[in-house]
Amino acid sequence: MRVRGWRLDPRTRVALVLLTSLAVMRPGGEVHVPAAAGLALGLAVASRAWRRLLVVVVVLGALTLLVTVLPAAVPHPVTAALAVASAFALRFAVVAGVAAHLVATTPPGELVAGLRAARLPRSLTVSAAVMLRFLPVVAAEAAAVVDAMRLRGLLGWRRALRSPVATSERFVVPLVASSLRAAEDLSASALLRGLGGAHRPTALRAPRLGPADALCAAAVAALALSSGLVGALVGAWSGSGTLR
Amino acid sequence: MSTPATPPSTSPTPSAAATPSAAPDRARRRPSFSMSPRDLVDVGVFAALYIVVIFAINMLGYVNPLVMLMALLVSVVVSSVPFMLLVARTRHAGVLTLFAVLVAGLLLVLGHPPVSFALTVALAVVAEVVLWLGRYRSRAASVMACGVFSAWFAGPLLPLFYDRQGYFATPSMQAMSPDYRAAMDALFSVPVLLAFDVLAFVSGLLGGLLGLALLRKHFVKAGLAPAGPAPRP
Repeated sequence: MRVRGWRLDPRTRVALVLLTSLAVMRPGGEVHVPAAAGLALGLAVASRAWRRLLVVVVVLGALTLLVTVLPAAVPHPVTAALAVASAFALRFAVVAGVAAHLVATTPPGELVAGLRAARLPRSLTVSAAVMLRFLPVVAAEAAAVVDAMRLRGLLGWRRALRSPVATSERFVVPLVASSLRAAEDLSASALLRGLGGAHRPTALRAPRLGPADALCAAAVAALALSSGLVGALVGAWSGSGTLR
Repeated sequence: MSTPATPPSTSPTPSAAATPSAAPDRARRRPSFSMSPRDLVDVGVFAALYIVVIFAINMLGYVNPLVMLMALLVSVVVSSVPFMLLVARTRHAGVLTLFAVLVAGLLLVLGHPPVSFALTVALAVVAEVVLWLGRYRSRAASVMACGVFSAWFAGPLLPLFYDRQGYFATPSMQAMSPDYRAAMDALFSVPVLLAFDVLAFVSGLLGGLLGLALLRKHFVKAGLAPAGPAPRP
């Protein structure tokens, strides 16, 4: 991967994802959505990822239109329900926009080196990396098992209520078995690559906090402060009944 | 917990092998927290399995709040199968706590309340103690540990006891229709929530028994779980 100007430390990139998620997904977190969207866009611009920038702009723009414009333009229970669901999706989308920066700019080795530099226990970092890597694999396996059950006529409310244990067995056993086969391969590969060795691995590019991280921290603090102020103003305004 | 100096725990246990037969029993009872790479991979894979199973079943909860409660209890039972397989494969001190940190950490990032994270990790520690009391060989202790750990399903609903307004203001609740929220508010009274907490524990026990049966029926035959009693930790 080419080095383009100032690079954020992997610890900063991970912290950005966690902070965004915790801020946006909590009750009342919708006030932080604009700031988080600005962060996602800023990260895409800073890393000159123009395609990602376009995707983020299109997705966030479409969801914002569904939340704000559509219910006003077409007042209907369906559009109102769509607006509520889109507001929920918008929160996920802004977190995904920040997470996309982490995924796109951080190779696994750099991520592991960063987490090691953050003094996190290796048991936690290795198993967390495996879990995140395996989540899409297991989800795809689960969809395949459900498809196979549907094809063989083994899916349905009546059948599930009549024999819940058999239905559970037909779903879980193939899912677990296929996932564990992949896990065995991964374990063998990890052992061959030196996981579990007595020596502490080193990184070609040692993680180091620098001016880019300080600048990013200042920008995030400014965004958090501004969205916090906006949230407080909106809260005070709605509390006085003006918005009702 | 992170020291990798010892060989994998799925092989005969190093501490047991290295300890002379005349060593004090107390030394043999001391649990080892060192995890092999295979243990770490297993924890990650089973955490992913656990989360996918829970999400797949709880998708039904969008139908109505009553179905949500039923789906939660069904997911307790079904998710106990990977849990029991993890316990059977690793039988190692610290594994459940690490598993709980991963699962609850991901759910925390996805919007679960912090109290749920704390409860899950605390229950995992209690489940670890139960497993240790059974010397990681007792099937009854495994089932009891499964029941204890499964009580974490009460965690995401805990704010309903002390902050109902805040709970219904969460993003996931705001994504539901007003009718759904009203029906949920009416259904999830304190007695119903208390009954659900007890049922989560009982469902965990039932799921543990189901997991044991499936272990014997499928996973031992396929070589995915140890056939005999595990070595001492």
